[in-house]
Amino acid sequence: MTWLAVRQYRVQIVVMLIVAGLLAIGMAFAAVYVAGVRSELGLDTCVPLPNTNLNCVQLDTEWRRRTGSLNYLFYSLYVLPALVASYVGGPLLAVEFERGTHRLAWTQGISRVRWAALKLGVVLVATLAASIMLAPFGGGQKEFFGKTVVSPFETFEIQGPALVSYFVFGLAAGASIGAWTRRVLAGMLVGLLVFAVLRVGVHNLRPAYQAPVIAEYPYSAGPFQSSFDIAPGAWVIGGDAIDLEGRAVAPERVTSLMQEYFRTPRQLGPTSNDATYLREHGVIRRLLYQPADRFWTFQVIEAAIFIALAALCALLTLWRVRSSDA
Amino acid sequence: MDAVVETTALTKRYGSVIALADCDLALPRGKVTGLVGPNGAGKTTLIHLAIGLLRPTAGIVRVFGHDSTSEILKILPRVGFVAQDRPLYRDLTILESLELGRRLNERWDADYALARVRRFGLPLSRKIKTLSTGQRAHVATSLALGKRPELILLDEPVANLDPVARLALLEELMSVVAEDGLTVIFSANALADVERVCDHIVILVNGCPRLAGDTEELIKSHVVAIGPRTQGVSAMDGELIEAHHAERQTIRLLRGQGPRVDDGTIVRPATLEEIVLGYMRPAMEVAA
Amino acid sequence: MATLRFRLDPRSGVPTYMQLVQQVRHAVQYAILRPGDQLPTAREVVEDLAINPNTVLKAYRELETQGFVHARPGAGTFIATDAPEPVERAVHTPLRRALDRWLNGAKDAGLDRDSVAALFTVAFQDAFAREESTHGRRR
Repeated sequence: MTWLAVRQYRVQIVVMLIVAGLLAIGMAFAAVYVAGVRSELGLDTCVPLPNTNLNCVQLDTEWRRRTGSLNYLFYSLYVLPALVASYVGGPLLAVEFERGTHRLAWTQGISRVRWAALKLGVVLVATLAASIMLAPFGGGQKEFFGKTVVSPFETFEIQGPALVSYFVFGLAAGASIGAWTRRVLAGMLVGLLVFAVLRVGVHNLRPAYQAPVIAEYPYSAGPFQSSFDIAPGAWVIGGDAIDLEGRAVAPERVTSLMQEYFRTPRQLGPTSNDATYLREHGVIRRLLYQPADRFWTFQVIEAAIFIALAALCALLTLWRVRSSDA
Repeated sequence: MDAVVETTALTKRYGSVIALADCDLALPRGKVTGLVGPNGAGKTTLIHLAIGLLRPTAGIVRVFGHDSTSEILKILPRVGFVAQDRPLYRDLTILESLELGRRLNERWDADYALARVRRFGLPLSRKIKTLSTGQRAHVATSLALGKRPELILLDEPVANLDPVARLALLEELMSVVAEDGLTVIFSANALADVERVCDHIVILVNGCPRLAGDTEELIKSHVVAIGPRTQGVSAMDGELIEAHHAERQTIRLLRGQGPRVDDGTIVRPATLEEIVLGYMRPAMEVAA
Repeated sequence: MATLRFRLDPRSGVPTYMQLVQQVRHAVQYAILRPGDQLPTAREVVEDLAINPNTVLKAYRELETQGFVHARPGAGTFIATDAPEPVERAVHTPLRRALDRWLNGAKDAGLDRDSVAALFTVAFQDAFAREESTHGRRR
């Protein structure tokens, strides 16, 4: 059966591996190239001219002109797992039902479950290989952000175990829908839909994988503090404001106080800032974030969620194959 | 009877449609059995139940004494099957299709399967999608025979085949019967084929078997009586299966010896076609 | 190569096995097959004719009962060395004459070709209808 599955999908497998290989090489090259052009143009050592920083802006524009299109290589990683769900997963079992070949396969000498499991297994191995080739290189997209301190979370979804798990889940979801509906088109479209819904859903769950760190905006640390200053490289989840007793303060109040602060001439001195102003009015602003060092923990959690979903889809598929009429 | 396929109260329902209703059947080993009946009578359903593609709604079906649902893996090595649409993987070559058989079956006689395919002169490197219907039928049958089964189930094996392909397929099956004592069970719409090769018949109508038996016995036990118009039948004549009336004449299909009268009634042995049609028709009228 | 090939006429009203028997008898009577010649195996026949092998075996059994062939297990079925001789003219001629008389009588009575055929067919079928049940009583 392994032989049959490989024979049936050899074109798809080869295409997946070649595309993944080329894309991986492309991304590796792109990351190096982008950084290289940047240093060639001297963007990081650019000193803005007095009264204007037009020369640095011009350099930046030139840099983006020469490298910008390479970014599509990285953006493709958002799309590829969905394509796997639709074009690889969806038809996997559905095409057999649609063509009636399951009646051939189920009347030889192996069980239905083994047939389905090996089909899924062979394509899964190929998908894993392709996605593992891609996983180390997605993070290279950070080169496009320049030297601003950027959170690794910006490229969370296109690298590492999380990326691999999206591919695995895509395959399983597509195959599962295809097996249940027994129609290739339904498998492709609904499989894609299920994949997208769950991707978005889990994306929205992600901030809660661990309780976010809550930090108060420091009120005596000097001029206006941004989130970058408080937690560099962190993933900012949001912010809130509490009063001195710890009760929540309405955002409108915070906004109006901030506007007041920026309108008032800076009388408060160089060692105080907007946070001081707010505190004097009984409001403490806070930042909610996931620190950068939690990146890999979150990757593992996300991957575990999608692998579990994939396993669930696979079990549903096998159960359906086992108990249904031909 | 040494039965190879046995059903007990076998029922299969799809929603509100009853495909098989409480069937008790025993299909004999070592014979060529034809399943006949109108479309929708349950022939395909019965075959699919026997080979484990369907699960019964109620009742049991056994092949070689094993339950087709729970013990299908014990049955499959001994039973070959060709579905009505003769499914094959279109992108595989003929040789690869046989390799499929070798890989997916415990017992496989590769030389035998190859020899059977070679009989039809097809180059082994041809892809299935380039073959004609008849050629595909041959490949599908060779695939089913490659495991040297003791029983082969075929759903309408010669439907849509040109006369040459049709005969060639029947010849192939019969030669395996002659050589290995293969038991053959197939469903058919064309009585000519059934008459040609079957020595056992089951007539299915509306999900129930109306008649089952060896063709020789059935022909011996049924007569057609053509005579003056008459109503009813005496017990001596036999059981009335079917009667057709014209204004002056009645033609009856009887199970028994038939009347011995002097009024010009002709009594002759019924042909298999008359018997099958006679049993198929009244039930069909009831359903309408 | 098989010694003999059979041809069937499905519309003749004669059972298949009987047609095989008749063709073998004909071949023996006209010395197409001689004592010691082997009949085609059941497999060879059905490969050619797509009929049930049991039909062939039944025909061969009938031929053996009639004394025309001898089945040697494992080897095949062979024309018997003591197969009945071709039917004597002495038997044919009076039967043929009686038949001619009957036919002329039927024509004189006004029966046309089809009526004669119908009458004959009924009587013929009546006479040979239950042949299987009369084993062993031949000639």
